[in-house]
Order: sequence, then C-alpha cells, then structure tokens
Amino acid sequence: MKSEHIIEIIESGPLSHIGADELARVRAHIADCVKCEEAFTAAQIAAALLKEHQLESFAPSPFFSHTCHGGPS
Amino acid sequence: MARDGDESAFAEILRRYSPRVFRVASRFFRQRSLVEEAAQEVFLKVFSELGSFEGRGSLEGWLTRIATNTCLNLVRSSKRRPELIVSDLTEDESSWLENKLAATASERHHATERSLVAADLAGRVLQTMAPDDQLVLTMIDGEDASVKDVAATTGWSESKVKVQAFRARRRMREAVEKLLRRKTTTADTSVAEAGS
Repeated sequence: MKSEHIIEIIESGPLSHIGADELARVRAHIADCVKCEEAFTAAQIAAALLKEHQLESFAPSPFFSHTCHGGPS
Repeated sequence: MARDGDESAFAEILRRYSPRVFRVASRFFRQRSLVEEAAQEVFLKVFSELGSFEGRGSLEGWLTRIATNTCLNLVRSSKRRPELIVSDLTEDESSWLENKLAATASERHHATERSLVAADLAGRVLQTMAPDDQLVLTMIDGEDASVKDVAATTGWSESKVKVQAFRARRRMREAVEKLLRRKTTTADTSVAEAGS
C-alpha cells in the first residue's frame, strides 16, 4: 500500500472530502515519496486558493439597485 | 408578466437576481468592470429569451444556466490564456505563497487566512486555465457544489462534469506545482548570488 502513489486519491475529488483512512495513506506515502509530497503540497495550496476565490464576489453595481428602487430602467 | 413585456416585472427580475448573476460572473472575472459587462449581457439575453422560459424549473435555475453559459462563452472568446510565472506575482502574492508553503510543511495549513491577496492569486492562477476547468473547480472545489448541481447549471452530463473536474484538478495542481518549483529555483539563485 505504502508504495502506491497517491496522485489518484488527491485528484479524485475536493481535498476536503478525503476520508481519514485515505488521508492516513497519503501521509504514510508522502513520508517516503518526494514527488507525491510535492503534489500533495501543491494540491493543498490549490484547494486553499479555490476556497479563497469563492469568498470574493462582486456585489451588483448602483445601476442594478437604482433600477430596483424605481429609478431609471 | 415580464414575458409580456412588463417593465416593472423586468425591474423586479433585475433586483431579485442580480446578486446571483454577479456571483456567477465573479467566478470568471477578477475585474468589476468585466463582471458588470457580463451581467449586462446576461440580462440582455434573459430578457430577450424570457418568452422561451417554460416555467418547468425555477427561474433562478434557468437564469443561472444562462449566466454560466454566457460567461463561459465570453471567457472562451477572449484572448489566449496567459501563463502565470513567478515574476508576475506581486510581493503580497509571493509572500502569501511562501507562508502557505511554510504552513503546509509544518502541518498548520488548516488555519487558512481569508485574504484578498489569496483570492487575487487564485483568480490569476484560474485565468491561466480553460474556462470549463475554471468553472468546475470554482463550483465543486471552491463552493462545494455537487456534480449534479454543475450538470444542471451547465447542461453537461454528470459523467462529463466528473471527468472535467478530475482533469481540471490535475491541471490546477500542476500549475501551482510549477509556480512553487520556479519560486524555489528563484530563491536558490538569489541565495547563491548573495553568497558569491
């Protein structure tokens, strides 16, 4: 088990959905595999970036609110 | 009523659904002006196609689908996607990446700071990717949407969504890995130069 690369696990779904057993398998594997450790680190950063990205959303501009309050349509 | 050309009904649609449309457009564009342009185009389309809305699903679902496909087409028709390289990063983005890397290495990655710098960097990395990749990643990995939700929003099959997400995840991870590798190389070169 430990010798199997874990790329497929980290790409099969959002990182936050990885179960405890699989996470343990990932951690055991990356202790000895530099390539997978780099991949896992990058996947963690990518996941964090995607979470940050969804927090930033633009609100409708005044044009839309003017319209809603009976202004120019 | 809006389908009959009632202006106040149009205004009500605009008022009620513009936050939703802006949220969808924000998945694709990092500049307010572009989000705004996209939203205007979405509503033009909504109003011109309102007659074809059969009322089988929710109006919000129908509108979200139009917004998503309009934004996807806008991104697809824009210029070639630039490759993001370390020298393109701002000082803040570079230091966020460094901190994140350090935190990950020391198992403290769960304490994710919610910063605009990170959101901006995320946008820049995503912009180097194909529009379809951007969409599945922001929805599934970013917003915890289900495969079914994405399929309903895009009109794709659930199998296509799954495959697209799997491949997009790999491409995003590889883009970040490349960025980190270059960053390490740049840092090593700086240290070597300082030492000589």
